[in-house]
Amino acid sequence: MCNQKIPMPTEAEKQRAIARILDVSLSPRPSLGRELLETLRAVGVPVLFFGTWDCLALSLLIWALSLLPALVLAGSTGSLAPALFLFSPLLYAALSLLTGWKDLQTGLWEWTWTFRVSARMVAALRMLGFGGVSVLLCVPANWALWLLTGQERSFGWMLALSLASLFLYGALSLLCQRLRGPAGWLAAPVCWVLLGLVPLIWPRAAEWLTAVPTVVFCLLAAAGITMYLLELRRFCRRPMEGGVSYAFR
Amino acid sequence: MLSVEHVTKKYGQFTALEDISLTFTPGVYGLLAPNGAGKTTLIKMLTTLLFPTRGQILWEGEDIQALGAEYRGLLGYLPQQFGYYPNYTPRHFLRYAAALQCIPRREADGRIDQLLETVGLRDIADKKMKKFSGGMLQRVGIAVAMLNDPQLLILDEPTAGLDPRERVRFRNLIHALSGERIVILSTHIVSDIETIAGQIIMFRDHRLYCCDSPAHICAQFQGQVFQLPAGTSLAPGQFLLSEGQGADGPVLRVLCEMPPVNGTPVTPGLEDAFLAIYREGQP
Repeated sequence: MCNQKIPMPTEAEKQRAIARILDVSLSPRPSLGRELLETLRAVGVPVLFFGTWDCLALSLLIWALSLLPALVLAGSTGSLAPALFLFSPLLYAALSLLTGWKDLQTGLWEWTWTFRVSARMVAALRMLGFGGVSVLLCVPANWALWLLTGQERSFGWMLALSLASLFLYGALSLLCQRLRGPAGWLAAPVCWVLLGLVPLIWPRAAEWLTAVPTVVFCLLAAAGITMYLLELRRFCRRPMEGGVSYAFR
Repeated sequence: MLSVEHVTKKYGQFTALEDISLTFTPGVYGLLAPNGAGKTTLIKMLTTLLFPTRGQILWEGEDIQALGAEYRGLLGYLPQQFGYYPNYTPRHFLRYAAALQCIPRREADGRIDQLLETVGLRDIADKKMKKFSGGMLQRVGIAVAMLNDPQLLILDEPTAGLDPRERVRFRNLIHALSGERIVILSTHIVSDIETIAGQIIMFRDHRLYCCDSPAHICAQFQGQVFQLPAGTSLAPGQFLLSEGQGADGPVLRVLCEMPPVNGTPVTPGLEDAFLAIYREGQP
């Protein structure tokens, strides 16, 4: 019988060995962009927006009709900035709220979490789609307002303000998704309306917003889109209970 | 094999389920308990919609949360309230669900035709669902749940709101589809599972009370259930289970340890056992 002592590794050596084994055996997680692309390839655009076309049509109608009050507001306050700030995220907000509300009402929201395709990936792709549509429509809307208001400010300034407002709202809405229950959906639009009312009812805030240069709005837009994408990654990756509404009924 | 290991679920301070351990192998399991006992909470944890506060749920030894899409791909689920878009046809809706389950279109179309035939909706496969009855919608729901030929089929109160004919039809359908898979059927209607479930799971006080065959559960009360003529005053220690019609008129079904005067012993059914287990004021 061999009485020779077998040298045992220290705790640090054990941890290093485990880490090396895990590094070799576990493949790195693909990037969010790749995961989203794979999901899009797997389901296709029609499935992504299945059942939401009525919400899309209604949101577009609401958005188109909002151009009139935006013009009236611009006329009454003597500045375009407060109206642009308030109304720019309207299409995105309407799309997100109406599709979310419809899925909750029909009982589909929770059910889709039990399918092979991740419901959160589908939701993230929808958000990106809604964001894309909002950005695309932002350009002609600003162009129309620019012409209708007698080109009082530069088109670039208006577009920068609109995009900054849209991206910051997008980031805020995703941030609010951390809240549980209906608050997660409703907090962002409520906050935005309250924030948007400040320059409308307080002329000095409107003057201050009008004086902000284009470059600052560009920086805010860049910060907004960065925050939006970071929050989108968190939304897709963090453990989340799809059936949590059951606990709050 | 699906195993639930020492699972506890709390909603804030409220404990919905406490230290539940169960093992599921192929067969039909009936989750039978009164409303609010924790059936839906367990089902939501089995479908990954809720996470256990403590304990874990394993599929073939691996945590279902870690398995993620792989686990969801072998799961078929019919929720308590089946969600659908009323302006779509069952065929369109099933194609949508097939895409979410990553089933290739050609394979899905064949499977959809076959399932619509099985659930008796072939003739109305292209009609909008807004005009469908509750039973027809539940049949669309079961077709959706069966799309991926699941190894684990979970049905949460599938017969709630159905008329007796639809309930019998639905029961027969579940029986026909059970095959070599695990079927977990939650209900508070005893007759729904009495004939089709091999094992009955019951909760009491948010804990597991039993997981046993209907025969064994009923056997616990053998010699303790008696029929008495209606109008008989009950003595202490006698518990009224139900009232019904006997061959000679209205009767009472009573639970007691000692045979009552004028009492006729009867074979306890699952409903008697259910009423006995969940009787109010029980010590």
